[in-house]
Amino acid sequence: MTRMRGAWAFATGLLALGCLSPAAERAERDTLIGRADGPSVSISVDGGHAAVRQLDAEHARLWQSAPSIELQLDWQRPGDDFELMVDNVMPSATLRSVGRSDLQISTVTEAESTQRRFILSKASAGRVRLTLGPDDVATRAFDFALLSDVQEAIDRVADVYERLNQETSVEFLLGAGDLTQQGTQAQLERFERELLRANVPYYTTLGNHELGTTPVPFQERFGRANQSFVYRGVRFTLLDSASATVDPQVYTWLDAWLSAGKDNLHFVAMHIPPIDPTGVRNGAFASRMEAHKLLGRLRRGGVDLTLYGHVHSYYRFANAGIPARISGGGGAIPERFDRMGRHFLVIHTDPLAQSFETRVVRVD
Amino acid sequence: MRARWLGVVCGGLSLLLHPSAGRAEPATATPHVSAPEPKPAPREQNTAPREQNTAPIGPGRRALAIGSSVVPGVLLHGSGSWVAGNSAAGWDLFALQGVGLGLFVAGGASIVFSGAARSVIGPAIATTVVGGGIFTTSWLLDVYDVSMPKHARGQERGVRNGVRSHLDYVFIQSPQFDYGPMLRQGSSVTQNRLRFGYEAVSAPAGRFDQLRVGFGYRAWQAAVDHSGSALEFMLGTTSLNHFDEDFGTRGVELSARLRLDGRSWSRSIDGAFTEFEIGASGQRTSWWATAEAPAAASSESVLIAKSAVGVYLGDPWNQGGELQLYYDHRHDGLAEGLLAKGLGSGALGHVGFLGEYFVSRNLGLRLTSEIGSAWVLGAGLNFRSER
Repeated sequence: MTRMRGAWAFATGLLALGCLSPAAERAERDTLIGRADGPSVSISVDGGHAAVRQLDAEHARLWQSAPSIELQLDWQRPGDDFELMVDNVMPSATLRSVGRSDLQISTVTEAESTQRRFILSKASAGRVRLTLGPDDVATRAFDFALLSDVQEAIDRVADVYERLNQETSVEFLLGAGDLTQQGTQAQLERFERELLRANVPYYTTLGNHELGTTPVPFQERFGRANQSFVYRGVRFTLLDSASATVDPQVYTWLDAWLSAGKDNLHFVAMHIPPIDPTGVRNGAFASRMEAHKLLGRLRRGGVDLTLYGHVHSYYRFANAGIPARISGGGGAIPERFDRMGRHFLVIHTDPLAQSFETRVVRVD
Repeated sequence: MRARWLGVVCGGLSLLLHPSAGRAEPATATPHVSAPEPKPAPREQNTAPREQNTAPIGPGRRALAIGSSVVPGVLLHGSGSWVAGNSAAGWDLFALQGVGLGLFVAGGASIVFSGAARSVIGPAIATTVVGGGIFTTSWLLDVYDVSMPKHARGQERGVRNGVRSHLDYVFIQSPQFDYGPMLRQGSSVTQNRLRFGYEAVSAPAGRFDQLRVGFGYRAWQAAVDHSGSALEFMLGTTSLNHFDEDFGTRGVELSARLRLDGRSWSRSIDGAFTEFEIGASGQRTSWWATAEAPAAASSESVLIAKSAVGVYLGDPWNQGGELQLYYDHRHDGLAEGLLAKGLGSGALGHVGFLGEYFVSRNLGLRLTSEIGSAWVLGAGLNFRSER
């Protein structure tokens, strides 16, 4: 037993020293996202689909990171009205109580289309379950967009959102990381302010450029680095590959998400692609074998499309037989000689026909 | 004719990086391919003429020189040699630093300003790796030259006809794969300019195996007896299978490896060497058909860019060997690329150490270590039968 403990300590020491699991802390933090305990109320968001930014006895503020969320509020004692402020909501979203007829909910319209403020008149202490999302989530064709790698081009990102808003069929924006240059609080705040120009919410994972400061503040602001949600019958999975690897703990979650999405269209997005189509560049995972392992799992899990950022251009290719797109057109230093410039992707998805089409939208 | 041309190229590189090399060792700049089986000779006969650094220095001055090789030597390479009174080596190493820095900056600037464009990225990274290697080398050789007494230095080692084999037990700490016990066995046969070799890795518990097979052609070798300076072109195949993850990778690779003894850089630096390897690999990974998914395959490429610096130990033909530190940009193999917590994770390859020491004419010990996405530690035996 002592020998086992020694071997374990040795292996753990090696891991720490060699930095073999640089994403472990973020994976661990993911498990805490969406939960918070206040002085007389606690909140829990299913699947960690929202970051709890603020919580006290009378109000809470959330960043929603999936189109529809379910949450639970537990009051220890009766109190006054409770204000729930939610950022990054779908414009058509409504808040509903599940199984509590005594709870009155009123909505205060905010200036920004992706912000909502709800007043909950609390009748008594106890548990309240709520759903927040658009009323119409029927399985039917829809469009979403993919935007990554804004970084130092934050001063010009308004053009991108302006162009995005012209794509009126787009229901939300998916992000594959590198929102900022270093990932500092100030840069994330700036990104969020600029994002208010977009008419649709933004669900994103982080990129390596969010790792330029310690501790990494991304998750407390924008939620889980690894998550999976379903919208209109299509499963979306966002993975944290910002450290050119996926943490071993995340593979366990991924297996469950793949299993759940086996019969649906399933799109997987992450920042650093497992394999760079320009292999000698290796804008990809640090380990080719891990890349092949991940792609093998996605293939076995029936993933239909993989979406990446990191490389500041546009690539259309296939990995392990799965269609793949790299779109790093948010404005960061572009790959020269590719004649791409700033761009984003619009993906038309038809879950009934189990099909999709991708289209490049140029901004410049 | 081709060997003559290659000799000119290698000699030219040596002259470019070290203008005095041609004077000190005219044979390295002369397009002459040495006999493939150099006979062992007393050390004195193999050493190039020395004009400097032959007078012993006192312990106080040696200590000062060693200190100077670190500070300010880490910034001004050759500082230790200057303090030791070997200004020729100091200038040579300083010039070498300039060349390394120049290549490193040129390669790095090409990456940044092209936005890592697909059309330039391969040569740009290779230039950066070689430049970084030369830059590091010029510092480490200075530290070595002032700290290692002449009598303690090993002899340079050329290549002999014969067979070499190694057998390692390999321990891997990987966050992604549980390999379990692993054995690595390799052999090579050298006959004149040709070399054929293989290395097989097997981890039965981890259901993993890997095989590399390659041919080498030594296109150039320095004419100085026992010199390890040589240029070899290699054509090889790689194959690995990961049975638990249902994939296998096959590849073909072509590379050129240049080893230059320390004396190629500066006359007084004997018993050390540098090595550079540049090439590329084309690979195809197949994911086997399973109950859940049909078979699939993808093709990809891998850049081969390696830079090493090392020292010879003792008499390599009897009791002796070599130590080597290297940076290998490969993102495949066992160690693969380095992981880090910050922005740059994944960009770099792995670093490694290789130590070999023959305790008799035929039998030796071997220790290897690599740090990348996994920690790889190998220990085992070497065997050789050479003429």
